[in-house]
Amino acid sequence: MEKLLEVKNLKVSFFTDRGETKAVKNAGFELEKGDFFGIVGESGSGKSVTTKSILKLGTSNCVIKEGEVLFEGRDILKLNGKELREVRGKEIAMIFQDSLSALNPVYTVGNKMVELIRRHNPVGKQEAERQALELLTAVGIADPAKAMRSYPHELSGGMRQRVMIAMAMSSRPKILIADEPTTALDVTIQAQILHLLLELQRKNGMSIILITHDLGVVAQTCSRVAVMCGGYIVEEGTAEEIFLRPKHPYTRALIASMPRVGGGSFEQFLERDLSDQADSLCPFLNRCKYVEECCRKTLPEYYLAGEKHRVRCHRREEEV
Amino acid sequence: MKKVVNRLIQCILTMFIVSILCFALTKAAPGDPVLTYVEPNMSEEYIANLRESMGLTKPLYEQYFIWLGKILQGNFGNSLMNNRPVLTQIMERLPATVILMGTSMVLGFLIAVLLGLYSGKNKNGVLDKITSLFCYVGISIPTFWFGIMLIYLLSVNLHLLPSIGMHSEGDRSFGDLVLHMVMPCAVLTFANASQYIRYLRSSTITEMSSDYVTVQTAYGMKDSGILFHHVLKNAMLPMITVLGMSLQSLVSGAIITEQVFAWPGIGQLAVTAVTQFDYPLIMGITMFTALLVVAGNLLADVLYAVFDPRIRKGSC
Repeated sequence: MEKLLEVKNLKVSFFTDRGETKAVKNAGFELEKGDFFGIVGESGSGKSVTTKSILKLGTSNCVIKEGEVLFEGRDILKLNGKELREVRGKEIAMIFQDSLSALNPVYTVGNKMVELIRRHNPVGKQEAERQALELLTAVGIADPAKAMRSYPHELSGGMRQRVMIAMAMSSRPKILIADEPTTALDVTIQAQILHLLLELQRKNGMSIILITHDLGVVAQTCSRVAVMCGGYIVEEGTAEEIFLRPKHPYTRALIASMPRVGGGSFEQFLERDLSDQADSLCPFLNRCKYVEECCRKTLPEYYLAGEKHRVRCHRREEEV
Repeated sequence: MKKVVNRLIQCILTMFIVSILCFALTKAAPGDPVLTYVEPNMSEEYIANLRESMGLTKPLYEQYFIWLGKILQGNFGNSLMNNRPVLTQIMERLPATVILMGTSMVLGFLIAVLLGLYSGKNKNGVLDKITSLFCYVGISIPTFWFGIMLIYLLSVNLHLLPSIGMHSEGDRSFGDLVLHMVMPCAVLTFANASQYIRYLRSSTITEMSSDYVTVQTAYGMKDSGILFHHVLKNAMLPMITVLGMSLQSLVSGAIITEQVFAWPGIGQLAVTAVTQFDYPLIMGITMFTALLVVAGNLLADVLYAVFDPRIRKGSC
């Protein structure tokens, strides 16, 4: 398979008055053409910052300290403003969790869609409008003409997320990054949106990076999964490997903490320990049941548990 | 539509309450309108007759309703000083104040849009720091001090600009008017801009951190495009309120600045009216100003609905 995106050794920090906060300590993964890649992890694990860094979307106090983001062989982090804008939206598009605040409240959907289409394609206003209607129909909006005339607050959450997807699709991107796209939606709408993403991915041969803290969502859609914890990718593999043969204690705990009907006791839920912890040690150290002496000394390296199943842990035995 | 009617009724009620307050306060103020006419050789009896003929012996509420009735017919009474109709005097002074205040409001607004947007976008940058410093100075220093300093520097020492009035003797040209306007206008613009910049800067900062800005960046929009096509319109919304509230100053004028520069506007008229205990004039100017405050707020509400679709169709 063709390598489309390669994130290598990414380190991202936030600088505030209280000093440096290392949000991403070391993240690296590869995305192949047609992948549906999931990044899971609890809040604050760095999954969202990682993906935002792919498009250099950090706020002014967010600094990418190290690493490379190779898109078709070019390092995005080294592009100048104009080249970067060419990649943003055209090659790699993004959708976000809160679709209400992601759309400008004072403009109609149509207004912004036409503007967006014309930014990346040299077409006239009428042609852009026609394309916008087509895109809105493609994402399953029943009355696209009415949606075009609507302001964001007049649409339902599901409709807005569909509009966001239509906007993202307007330039036929090669990669779509979806940052918790279904978190704000109820379960039925969530399923519809996920279904839509799968359909679009298959139809356009697009790759999708899906960020979520909902393992259920990952299980429904992703072909490959990376698990993030404390700024590190602690385990990465196919969906099957992650769900059926999880190796890292964090992944196991995460899966065990999924609420199930009629089962699961609350003892299994992950307790968060936010106490300070050395940067250069395993991010799960303070919460891990299997801590050994070596865990307190060095950061574990990846070991391969399958062909492409890598785990960042000192423990290698198959035991529970 | 129903909302507009409700709002209008509210405005009328507000004006009614303002009229009561205005009347009561003027009545409670020290000074006696009759004294304006009193001369040393007048007899007690004559003064009592005068008082009665002026309607001052009637009960207060009756006086109020007579006054209110006249106002509703557009009759604000005659000035005690020169016996000329109050409304005519206000209208005579209106152009001078509107020119001065209008120019400084527009200038202040334009400066504020440029600097406010820029410093909001480049928060804590060099220009932002300099702008902030000037804003604090502009808000802190009293206009009369700044005005007097300008007069001292530019008129007294350097003889560059005329220091008082609106026109030179016998000269009605536009150029002459502009020369007279430079200093008072500078003082007011500085004060206005300082205030507006603070509002625009903070609303720009808020808007810049909105998700739609990130989204547009992610869609490859230029920073300048985001600023002018997305942020500007949202950041301007709070300015509607600020401008609506300052509408009344267009007419009530900057009392102090007009006084310092002897600008023949309504502000100066108000000061004269107060020092002379000219009640009809005081009340006329007060009611006129109040009307504009209410109208300004109403206008701001309407404009909000025009520019913000969430309010137009929303429930608030």
